Amino acid sequence: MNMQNAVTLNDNTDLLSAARDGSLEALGDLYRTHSRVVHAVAYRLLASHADAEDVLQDVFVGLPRALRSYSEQGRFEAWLKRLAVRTALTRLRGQQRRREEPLDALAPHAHGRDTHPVERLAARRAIAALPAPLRTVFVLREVDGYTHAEIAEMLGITEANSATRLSRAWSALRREAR
Amino acid sequence: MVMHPGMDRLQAFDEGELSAVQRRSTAEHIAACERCRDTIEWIADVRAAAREEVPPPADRAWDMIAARVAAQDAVLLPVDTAGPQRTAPGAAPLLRAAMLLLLLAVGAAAAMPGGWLRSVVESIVPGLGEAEQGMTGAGGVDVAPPAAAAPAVLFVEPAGGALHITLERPHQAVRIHVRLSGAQDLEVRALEGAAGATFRTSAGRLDIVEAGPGSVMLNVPASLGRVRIDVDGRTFLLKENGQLRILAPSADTVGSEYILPVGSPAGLH
Repeated sequence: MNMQNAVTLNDNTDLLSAARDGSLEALGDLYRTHSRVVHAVAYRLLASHADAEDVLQDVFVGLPRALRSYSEQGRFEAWLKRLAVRTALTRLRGQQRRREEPLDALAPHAHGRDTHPVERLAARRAIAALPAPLRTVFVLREVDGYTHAEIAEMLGITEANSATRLSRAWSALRREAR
Repeated sequence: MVMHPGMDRLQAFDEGELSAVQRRSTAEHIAACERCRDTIEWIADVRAAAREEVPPPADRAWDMIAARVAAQDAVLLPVDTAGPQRTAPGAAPLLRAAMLLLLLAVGAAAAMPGGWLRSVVESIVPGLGEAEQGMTGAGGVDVAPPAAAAPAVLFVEPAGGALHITLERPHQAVRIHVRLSGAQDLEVRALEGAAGATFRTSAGRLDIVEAGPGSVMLNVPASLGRVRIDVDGRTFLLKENGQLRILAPSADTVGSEYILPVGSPAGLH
């Protein structure tokens, strides 16, 4: 048995290499492992399940080609997550079609503490209703944990502007809560 | 009069980002202040709500992806390596601090909007004007200029030494930039609104559908015998038998780059 010819899809490097070369099986393995992260990132930025699923599809359809630019330095999931953020932001900027009611936030979420369900629901609605420039920075900082420098680079704004947007997002949420 | 910690301090407290001294003093205040306790609880609730798990994608999503891959659908993704760099990492904070001292030293007159020194400083410190503009907006309305879209990159393999590129229904403000390169594959970069187009590829072919206003940069392998670029059925560029012909209604060159506007120059704004 020629072991050298066997593709071990459990190995991340081989998996990425196979996906880059067009293996649908490898792409499917990556999808099973990472689709929830990509979908969640897109949903939180776009506040719409339909738009999030479009981004999910685009990311995985375009992934084999995008992997040519992946240097395999650092964690793959962090790279993929940034790719999902950028794809969602591109969609947000170019969005000229209908806006889905951003109250997808009303949908029941799978987990979470049950201490203040009413306040939690109101908070989700308020976050989803933030103007897109504020919601984007709020989500990237408070949920995804990016620094203002990273957010500034992704959005093409300054770090000071990122910090200002975050502060305004919190102020808007506070006003809404009162 | 009781001094309450600001929202920034309470947010940092909730995240455990304060120094030991700050944390102790804030904790002592919170223990004695019902209002700040309520605020801390509210901050924690908002963060918990924002971080709640999102329901998984629909089961059909993978089937649709597999079908699109099988149909050789192509999507141009804004990959990380092409992100815009607005500031030099590491150097920017020092440079900005130095410039701030300079501004203070020469007085408020020089810092007035429109002043010559301010123009000089803004040219040295990218984003200074934008940052201040963003901070002076009123009523929660973000007055910063629209963010620049991250460029997107795609590679297309030629077939039989040939490439056919089409643009269908592009915005009139799309500009096609063509360079000849020593690479084997066509490299496509879409900037600004053009990054939102639909891209489809098959062997030796790239179709760009409904590109928004922006630039499409094409690095075309110089070794190819035949290259054609069509815009809505009209040939803009043709390379065959070693000859490169520009047939676009208007064209410009910058160095070795050909710039082909989709719309007439009079129609561009």
